[in-house]
Order: sequence, then C-alpha cells, then structure tokens
Amino acid sequence: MVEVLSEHGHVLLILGCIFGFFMAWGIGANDVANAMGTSVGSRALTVAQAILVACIFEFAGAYLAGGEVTSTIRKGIIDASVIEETPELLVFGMLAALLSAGIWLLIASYFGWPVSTTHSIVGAIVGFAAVGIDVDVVYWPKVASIVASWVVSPVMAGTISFLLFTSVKKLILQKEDPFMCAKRYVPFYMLLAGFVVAMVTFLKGLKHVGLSFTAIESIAWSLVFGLIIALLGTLLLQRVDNEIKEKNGTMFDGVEKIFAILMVFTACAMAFAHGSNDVANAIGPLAAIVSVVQSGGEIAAKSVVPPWILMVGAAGIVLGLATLGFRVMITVGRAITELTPSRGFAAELAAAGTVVIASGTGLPISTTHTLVGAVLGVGLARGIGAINLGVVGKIILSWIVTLPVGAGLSILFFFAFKGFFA
Amino acid sequence: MSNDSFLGMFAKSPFSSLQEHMDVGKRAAIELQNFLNSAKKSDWDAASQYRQKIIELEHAADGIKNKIRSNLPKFLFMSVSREDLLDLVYAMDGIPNTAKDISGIMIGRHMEIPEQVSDQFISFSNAVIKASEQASAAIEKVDEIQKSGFGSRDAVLLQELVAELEQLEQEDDELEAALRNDFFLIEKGFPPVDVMFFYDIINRIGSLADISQTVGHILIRLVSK
Repeated sequence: MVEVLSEHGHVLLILGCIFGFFMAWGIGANDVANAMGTSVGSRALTVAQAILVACIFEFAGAYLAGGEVTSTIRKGIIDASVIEETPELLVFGMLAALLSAGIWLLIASYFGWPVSTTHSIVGAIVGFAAVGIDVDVVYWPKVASIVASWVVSPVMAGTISFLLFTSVKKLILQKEDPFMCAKRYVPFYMLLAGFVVAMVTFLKGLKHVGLSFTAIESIAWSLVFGLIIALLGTLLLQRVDNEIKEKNGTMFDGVEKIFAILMVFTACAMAFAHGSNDVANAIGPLAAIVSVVQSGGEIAAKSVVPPWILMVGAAGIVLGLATLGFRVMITVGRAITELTPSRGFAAELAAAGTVVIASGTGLPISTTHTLVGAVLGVGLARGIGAINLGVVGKIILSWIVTLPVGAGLSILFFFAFKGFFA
Repeated sequence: MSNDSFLGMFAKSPFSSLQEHMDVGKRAAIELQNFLNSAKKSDWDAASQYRQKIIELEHAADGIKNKIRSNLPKFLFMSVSREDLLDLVYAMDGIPNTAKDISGIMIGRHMEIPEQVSDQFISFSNAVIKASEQASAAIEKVDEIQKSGFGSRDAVLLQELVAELEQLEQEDDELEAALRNDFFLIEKGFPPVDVMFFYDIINRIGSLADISQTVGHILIRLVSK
C-alpha cells in the first residue's frame, strides 16, 4: 500500500501545498477581517493601516508562534500509532480535510456566515479519521481538550476584558482628569500587550529560528520588549497632547484619542495572535502530508514543523489579505460600530492575550469566538451601549453547525481520494 | 459580509438618539415659551407660527421615538435596562406632546390670558420650561456617564442635577398654586367656559414640570441599573 506514496508522492505533495495555500488564502481573505474589525470599526485604524498591520503581524505571528498549534493539528488529533500500517490514509485524509474546510469557508464567506476556520478543520480531521478510518484513530482525549478550549477561551477572554475595562474605569475614565490619567496609565497597557505577545514568542516560537530561551530569560526579554513598546507608545502619546490642545476637543474625545493609539498596539497583538493560531488550520494538515510523504510512509511523530511550511501558510494569509481581504475590510470599515477605542482595546487585548496563550499551549481555538467573548466581557462591565445577542447566537450556532458539515465534506473527499489513488 | 458577521453584534447604542429626542423636546418647550408670550400679547399671527414649529418638532420627536423603539429588540444586551429605557422615551415624549396640546387648545380658542394674572402666568410657564431644560441637561450628563462606564462619581453628579430638578418642580408647584389662588379671586368676572379652559391650561403647563421630574427620576434608575 505504501507504493501509493512513492508512486504519487509528488502529486500528493503538490496537491497538499495547493490545498494548504488555498486554505491560508481563505483565512487571509476572510478571517483576518474579524481579527482587525474591532480596530477598524472603532476608527482606531484606517482600512489601509489595518491591512498593513495585518500583513506584517499575521506573518510574524504565523511564522514565529504558529508551530505549536500546527503540531496539534498535524499529529495531536490523530493517534499515529494506530495507522502506522496505512500512512497513505493519513495523507488522503489531510488532503480531504484541507479541501473540505477550504470549500466550506468559501461557501460560508459567500453567504456571509460567521464560520470558524478552526472548527471546520478540526471537524474535518475528526470526521475523516473517525468515519473514514476507524473511531479509535481519533485521539479523543485531545479532541475533548480542544472542544473544551472552545468553551474556555471565550469565557477567559470575557473575564480578562471585564477586568481590563473595569481597571480603565477605575484608573482613568472616572477620575477628575481622565485625559491626564489616560496618558499616565495607557503605557502600562501597552507594556502588557507587548509582554504577552513577546512571552509566547520567546517561550515557544523561536526554536525553529535556532534560538532557545529558558523561562526566566523569556520573562526578562519579554519585559524588555514590553518596556520598549511602552516607551514608544509614550512618545506617540506626547503628540496626542499637542493635537488636542490645538483642537480644543472635549474631555472624552481626547481620552479616546489616547486609547486609539493604544489600539494600534493591541491591533498588532491581535493580528499576531490570529496569525499564530489560525495559520495552523491551513498548514497543520499540510505539515502532516509533507512529513509522511517525505519520510516515505513513516508517520514521524517526532520531527518539528519545517519552517518553510510555516512560510507557505504565512505567505498564503498575506496573499489572501492582499487579493480579497482588503475588500472585506472595506465592508467592515463601512460598518459603523459604536465601539469606542477605550472599549475596543480591552476586548482586543483580552482576545489577543487569550489566543496567543492558546497558541503557546498548542490549542487551536477560534479567534472570532474569543473576540465575541471579550466583547461580551466589556458589555458586562457596562462598557457597550447595546450588543445584539441575536448575532451572538448565530455565531455560536455556526460553530456547532460547522463541525458536522466539515466532517461530512471531509468524509466525502476522503473516500474520493482513496478511490482515485488507491 | 452580511450583518451576521462578527461586527453585526454591535447594535446601535440608544444614547445618542435619547439626546436627540430630548433636544427636540427642549426646543418644543422653548417654542411654547415664545408661543405663550405671543398669546399674552394676543398676537395670534406670531403665535400660529410658533404653533407650527411646535407641531413640526412634535413630529420629529415621534420619528426619533419610533426609531429608538424599533432599534430595541428584546435580544439586545445593554448597559441599561430596556424597560427603563422605554419608560424614559415614553416620559420624554410627553414634553413635545404636551406643548402641542397646550398651543392647540389656546390657538383654537384664541384664548386671552387674563390681564391681572398674565405676568404671573408667564413667569410660571418660564419656570416650567426651565425644568425641561434641566431635564435635558440631565440627559446630557447620562451620555457622559455612559462614556465613563457608569462610575459612582458620575452617578452622584447626576443625582445632584436631579435634586435641582426636583427643587425646580417644587417651585413650579408653588407658582402654580399661587396663580390658581390669585385667579380664583377674580374668576367670577370671566365667562365660565373660559375659566374652565384657563385652569385646564394651567394644569397642563404644570404637568410639563412633572414630566421633567419623572424624566429625572427614570434617569437615576437607568444609571443605577
């Protein structure tokens, strides 16, 4: 049976690259808009700026911190020891998973359904493995922990955003001179944003670049990084001061201007976090295909994700952004949200922190759902005028529907590939 | 991308519309002030122009009211209670409505304001209109409170504003009582139907102050949640 791999190895590899790139392109074209939507919607960034930020930080996140989740998708969901005899099935299955998740993403984007790429790829992998091969192939404890993380991540983001916004209220908004207080305390939030992102990168992300840090070194370097960010931010805040004096704006206008600068930083963190978690949806399966095909049928559970694969995913996301994502962004930019930067930053920072931590622990979670949880957290702190729970319900429904649809499609494609090649 | 996308979860905040509605109500109250001054001088041409403005403002207020209500489906998760908000809109809408009713009755009957109490009548109505301006200031405060995330410091400021509003309403009550008293002493000299309608108008003007006070009370409830 392994002859299939030697015979069609190149075709399978090329197909894997095409499907993986297609999926990454889909993520860039569609999913990124959600990650950046809060910044654009609250007018902290223009559409052009958001795309620039997304390009740079999605790429950096995918390349520097995307490895852990990629390993989970590649070999965490499927128990490799069970299918050592038939490695080609894993290749067919991963191809099917990529194709079905990509197509589902395309359909959903067309109709404007808020689907999660993470849920479709996990559903697809579980689907082909459990139905196409055998129920025992699926490593259910891992799947259970992933599904649990889908519940935990929005709750965690919501709790963090609640606390963040409450601290903003106490430290800044409800003080005599909120403008001065904002200038004093906002750099600390910048430090926090820089620290969390750097921490995950230092701890988990730089191995394939050839750098390895201990926990204490990581903390030290992350603190340094955070301080640099905060310093940079403080310099930018100086400028706001002068602009406000010239324009003679009202109290909260000036405060929101300061938070808008903070939001530029949290938007970078958000794009980084999104890249670090969602790139795996495209290249996790690709990495599995590559390792099986290149080793000539060995399901090598040990090897790390080759950097060039991360590169393919990162490039795909950026290309998706550049070709179609900007159009989605413009639509998002037109949607006037009543989310002000002092609220938007709290939601973004909470979501980015949660996602990046999940990336560090290798859990594939949905950025959009985490962000929804974070927004609700700000709402609970009475930060947002009105939140449409109908839409929230639809988003939750979509993640439930996505699992069987992703699974069904991938089972279909799995048997098609199997029939075609074997 | 339809409204079901992630950003669709941000519904329109009701606060800007509330201010818009209150602003229209306040303008209607000010036009009523102009109207009453013209009526006092029996200048019915000018009065009917003011009456026209009041009608337009009342229509505008109805439009805003409907907009607020239709943007408040039950599945909204808001920083204030939906019931309080609807109560508030209902109360606020009473200001332009009452202004319209008062001007309507007076213009329909070309109602002369009795000479002996006309100054008293005008200062009473001026005081009432001051109360609606105070209610408007309280709503502006609520907008600020919302921007600051409903802090207790702001809530205290609002309570102070509403306490002033209560004070104004009390003064209006006293002015109303004095006006009724003084008119009672001379009412025999006027046609009974005119007397009836004059009392009715006094009553309605007084109710404007009550409405402003109610608005203030609902605002406190709204903020404290």
